[in-house]
Amino acid sequence: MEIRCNQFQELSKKALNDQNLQKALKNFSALIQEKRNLAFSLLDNPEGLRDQAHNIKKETLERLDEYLEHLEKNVIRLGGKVHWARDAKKARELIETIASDKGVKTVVKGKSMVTEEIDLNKELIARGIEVSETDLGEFIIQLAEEPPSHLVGPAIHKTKGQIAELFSEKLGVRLMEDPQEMTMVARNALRDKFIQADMGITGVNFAVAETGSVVLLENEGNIRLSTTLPKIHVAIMGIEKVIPNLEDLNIFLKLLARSTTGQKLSSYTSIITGPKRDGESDGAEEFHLIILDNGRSKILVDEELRETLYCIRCGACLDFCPVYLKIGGHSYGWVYSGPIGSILTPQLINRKQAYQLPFASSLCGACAEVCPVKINIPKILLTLRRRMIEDPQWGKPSISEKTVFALYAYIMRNKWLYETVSRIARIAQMPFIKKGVLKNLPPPLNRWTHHHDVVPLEKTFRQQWKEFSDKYEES
Amino acid sequence: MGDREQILSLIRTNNTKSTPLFKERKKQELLLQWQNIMDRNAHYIDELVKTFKVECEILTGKVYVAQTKNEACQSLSSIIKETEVKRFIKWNSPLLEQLNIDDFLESLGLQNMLLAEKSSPTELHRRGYTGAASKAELGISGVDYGLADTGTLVLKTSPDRNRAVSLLPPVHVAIMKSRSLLSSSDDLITRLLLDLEEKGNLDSCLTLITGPSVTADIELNLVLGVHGPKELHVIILESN
Repeated sequence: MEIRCNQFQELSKKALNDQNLQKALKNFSALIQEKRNLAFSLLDNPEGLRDQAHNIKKETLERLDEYLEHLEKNVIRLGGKVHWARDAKKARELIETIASDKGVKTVVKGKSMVTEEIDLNKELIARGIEVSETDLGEFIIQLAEEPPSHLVGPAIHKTKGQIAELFSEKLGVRLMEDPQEMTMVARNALRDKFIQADMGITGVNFAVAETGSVVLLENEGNIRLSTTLPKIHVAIMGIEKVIPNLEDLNIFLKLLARSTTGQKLSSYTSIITGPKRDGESDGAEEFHLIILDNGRSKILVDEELRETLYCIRCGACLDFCPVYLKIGGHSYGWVYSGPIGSILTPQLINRKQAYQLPFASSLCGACAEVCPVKINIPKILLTLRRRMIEDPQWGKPSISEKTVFALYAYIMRNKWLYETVSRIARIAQMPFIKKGVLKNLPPPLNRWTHHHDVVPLEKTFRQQWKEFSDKYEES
Repeated sequence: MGDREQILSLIRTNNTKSTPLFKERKKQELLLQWQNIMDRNAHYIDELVKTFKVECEILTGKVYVAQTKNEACQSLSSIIKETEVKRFIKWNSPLLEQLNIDDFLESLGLQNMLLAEKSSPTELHRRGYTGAASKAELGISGVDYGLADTGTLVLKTSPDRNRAVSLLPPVHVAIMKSRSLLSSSDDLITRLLLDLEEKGNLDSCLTLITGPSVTADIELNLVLGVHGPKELHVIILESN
């Protein structure tokens, strides 16, 4: 999908003025936060589980090459095929080749962020293949030709009325008001697609090295249909999706649905181990697993940033982020949004394009508090900020910012200078104090006062201390 | 250098080899563990049934507890009346055979879609099977395990137990014995590890079903039956 991260400010402004979006985000967050918190409160030892999940990810990544080789070996042993893709282009080529070798004309897809990441649909459609997104939210945004706005609820930004109009325009049905009725329109439209489809394409929630299984979670049943009806199933995963064994899977199953939707388990969890066996009447005859790097190995070898790869794409950090819940998913300008997007996107795409994302955070820490695998997102945000300022390879090192901070450090180290400057500042601020706050400072300081109520400088601590001790001595 | 070698060599530089690759497991220990689980669950069977029923019904599933085969069939009959289904597809499993489901459904005037499409289910090609399943309004499956604490059904796939039965028809009826109830996914994992030790592989597909098909993608309105079954009914046959 087109990268628009460098338009972060414009996109955010647009989102803030979108009344429908603001209402949707408010309703969504109220519901999802309550459900998630309730689901976690019912666990015996949620902290212990999160620690275990964190450690499994840590230890798996420490021997990732070996786990991936085990996974590959087991998938092949079961009769599946494994393909490796260093980047998005290679992954697209691999899938195209499988499709053209088998004469695939129609594809049904389960919701998968990684296929958005590699921009798969556009490529397949250009080759004359019909691609149907089958998750209801994805189906809606495919009709609207928009990208997803949330990891889990891709169409949360659209109102019922907008969806009704979309269905009427694109599917030729009358305008409807009832979500139930609209959903059934989608069911009927897609059921035939499932039955006709030559190939099903899905992501992977977890790949179990020891058994060669891919595990897929969902509520709708569209992923089950995509893996059950077409003859060919292509599953695509980032290298970080592998976990060692079934005991590990058990830990993640307890955490993922609770973090995603506040359910104990999703409606459907499919543990798919190789292609269908002889005598079975459904299930894919051919199973292809695509293992994608696309920048992940670079994150892996970077000690300070590696935790980014622990992410299991639950979306909880979005649901609790005060920034995401105001600006919505599209403002982030690419596939991954919210706090995880702010740390993942700059590492996966051209860094300089996404340099604004790590700064779009108040560092409140809500993301780290809810992350089921305890990724220290605020720490990674700070690391990225530091690199973007200091390291020309990473961002846009700002000469003015460097100068300002050098000057600031110099003033802070010099008592006389500090007192003089702060005395001047207290006098200079006078004309700008309106109703107890600083307003309309001259540029460049106006960017600071434009959005914030900045409290004016008061007496310095030294002054206050002096007055206090004078008073104390008098009494 | 191929993509495989490049990716592996990039991440190999990071390998610290600090932890063992896989946990060591002994089949004997797993067997013992499984035996303990079964003993414990047999002791708490009434609680497990109760918990399963509560959890499944929170999710709009309907649970019927039957003391006898006859009662189980009565429950099935009332589901059929209520839902007004006419065409069905089903698993072949020992429990369903014991209940003589085929004859029972025939006596109620229902049509077995697999027989309608072709003479024997094993002769059906995949399109034929899918076609039959997609015309059925009712899918009847057995259950390999139930997980009480989440209200989950665990279904293993095999030639007689295909995936579409619990997926394509809008009404899914699952019939299980109470002794198939486990307390949670912890028990299930022990069983799967034992399967892995005994058979070397997991089944081609293991499906955990927790409630009916559901979506909230239109303004967070919960709608059932978006792609899979709209209704989930579970008949539990007490095993004494």
